[in-house]
Amino acid sequence: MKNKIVARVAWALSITALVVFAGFPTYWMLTTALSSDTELYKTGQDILPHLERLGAFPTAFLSMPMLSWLGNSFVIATGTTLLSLLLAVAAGYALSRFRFYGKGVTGFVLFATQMLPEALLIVPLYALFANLGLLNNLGGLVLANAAFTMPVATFILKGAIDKVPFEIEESARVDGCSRMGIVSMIVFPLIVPSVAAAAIISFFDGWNEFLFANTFISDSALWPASVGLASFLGQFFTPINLVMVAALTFALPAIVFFLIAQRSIVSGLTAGSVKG
Amino acid sequence: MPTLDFTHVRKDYGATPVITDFTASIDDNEFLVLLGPSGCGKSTLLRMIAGLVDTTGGSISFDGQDMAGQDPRQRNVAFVFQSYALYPHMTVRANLGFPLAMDRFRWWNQFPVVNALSVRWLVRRPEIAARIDEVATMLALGDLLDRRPKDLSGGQRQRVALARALVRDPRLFLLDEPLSNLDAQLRSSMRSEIAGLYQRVKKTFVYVTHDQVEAMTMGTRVIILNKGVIQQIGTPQEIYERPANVFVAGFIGAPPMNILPAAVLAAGASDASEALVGIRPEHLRLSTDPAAAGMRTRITSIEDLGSSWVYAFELGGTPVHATSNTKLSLFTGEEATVTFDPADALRFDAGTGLLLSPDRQTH
Repeated sequence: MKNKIVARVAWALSITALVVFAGFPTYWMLTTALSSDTELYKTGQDILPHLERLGAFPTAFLSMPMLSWLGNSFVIATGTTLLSLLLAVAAGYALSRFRFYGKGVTGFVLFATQMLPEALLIVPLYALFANLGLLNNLGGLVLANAAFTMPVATFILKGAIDKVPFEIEESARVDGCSRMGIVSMIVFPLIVPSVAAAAIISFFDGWNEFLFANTFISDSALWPASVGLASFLGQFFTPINLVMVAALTFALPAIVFFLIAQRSIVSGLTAGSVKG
Repeated sequence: MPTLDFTHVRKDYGATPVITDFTASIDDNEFLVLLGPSGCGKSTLLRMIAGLVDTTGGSISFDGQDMAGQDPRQRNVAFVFQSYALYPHMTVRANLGFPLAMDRFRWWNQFPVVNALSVRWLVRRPEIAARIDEVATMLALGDLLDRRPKDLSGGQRQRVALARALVRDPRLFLLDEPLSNLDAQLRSSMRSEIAGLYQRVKKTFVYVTHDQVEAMTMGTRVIILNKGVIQQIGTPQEIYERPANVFVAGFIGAPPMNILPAAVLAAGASDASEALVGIRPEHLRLSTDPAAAGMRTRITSIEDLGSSWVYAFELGGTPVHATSNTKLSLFTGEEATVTFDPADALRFDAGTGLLLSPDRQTH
């Protein structure tokens, strides 16, 4: 009994330590956002946040085009996620289920894309986008981001499709289901947890992406929030509190998306379909 | 009119032949059992009938119509999988309604999202709902319609798989070892259920199994396969009583037929020829009397099966089994005399293993 209590207390302490460790940067962002320039640059920042200054938050938020930048980020992240998943489901299904010449090479090439740093590709991509008229275009950013997230999503989904029993698909074929129907009605619902995982990776990649956006988008009205945030860094003065207000609002939609998507990451969806 | 014809059907996986030259006819309303050891090609054959696997050579025809190039749907067959293969994210009702919904799909129903919504809507249509209820009642699934497969027992899942096969009124039922995942008791009751289902629907059934009890009790005809080659086609009785070769003799029966090398002396001949003699364990008689005429042996083990007893011993170095429905006063290690009626013995060619004839005297 005593051992049980000690174990539970140790468990609770470990969890608390982890939560504090993970949550402290966000807490410090809030504290910084609620500090004045004087406190930040002269007297020093307080440990506890000045919550009475929360009323000034909307004013600070509206003093910059953050809403439109967040909107751009949302378009880019959503576009990247949808395009990546659409292509990854098709590619993952093909790699999992079909035998074709060059299948091994295809898998390797998809994997190899992850070995190349973005910075290496930025010059050829810039030239390509300039020729295609995709500079200063959110669609262009979606394409560039999806090129990097799609292979990861493909591998995640291929692994999931591999685990879907083949007989379920054969059964659907006997029932008269088309190939597209099999993928969308039978396979897709069974790999939802992996789709959610791939969606989170793709969305965060699109949401946080900075290098391509900073290079390909020069029009400040089309900036995503990541580039917008960086624009606060001045040569002589950086309003850190304002940056933190923007950073908090930048983090919020991504957290909400994660909370929605992570609910789908549950295992055992195929339970009961086949004996095993 | 035969409903199903195989003409020189062949299937290779790469350089490995799985089915070699399979030619047979399955009559209308027949319950045909494809029986053979694991890996003999029987499941591949069933998949070829369904159109899930292409043939490498030869042809399969339904009612005289060649099925080459026809997809599983066009063949109008029902397939019951060994692993049930139910759709885990759908309720039993949706599982049963799915094939019926597919029947009513138009081109525009095929698009993602639209298709899933269409299935939901179609399954609720009165004629489909009525058919689902009818089949569910037939297989005692009425109370389970709103459950998902994971909430069902093995037997219930198998009944759902059968119901899904039944719901569309196919012209042919294909069953791939449907009972192999069930425990012995459930298997026995499901065996009766499938046999009863066959009597009710009176359609052609092709049933794949490696379990000879299922083959012997359910089939109107049995095809025994080994390494992709037909060993024998016949009724269960014919196969049991007159196995075409030593493989069939050794495959059917528990314990299987005893195959012993022997010298055979034809009536009136002076020279004996080599042959193999097959005798069923129930045709061997054991006696403890040392003076009795017959072959002497020593009992190596006795298996008590409750209603019968299996005695193991050796004859000329070959392991032999004898069964008896009464318990003999014999013990392990004890000497016994073995006799049998030559009329019960079968003679197989020593080289080819093919059945020669049962009516020769053996020594």
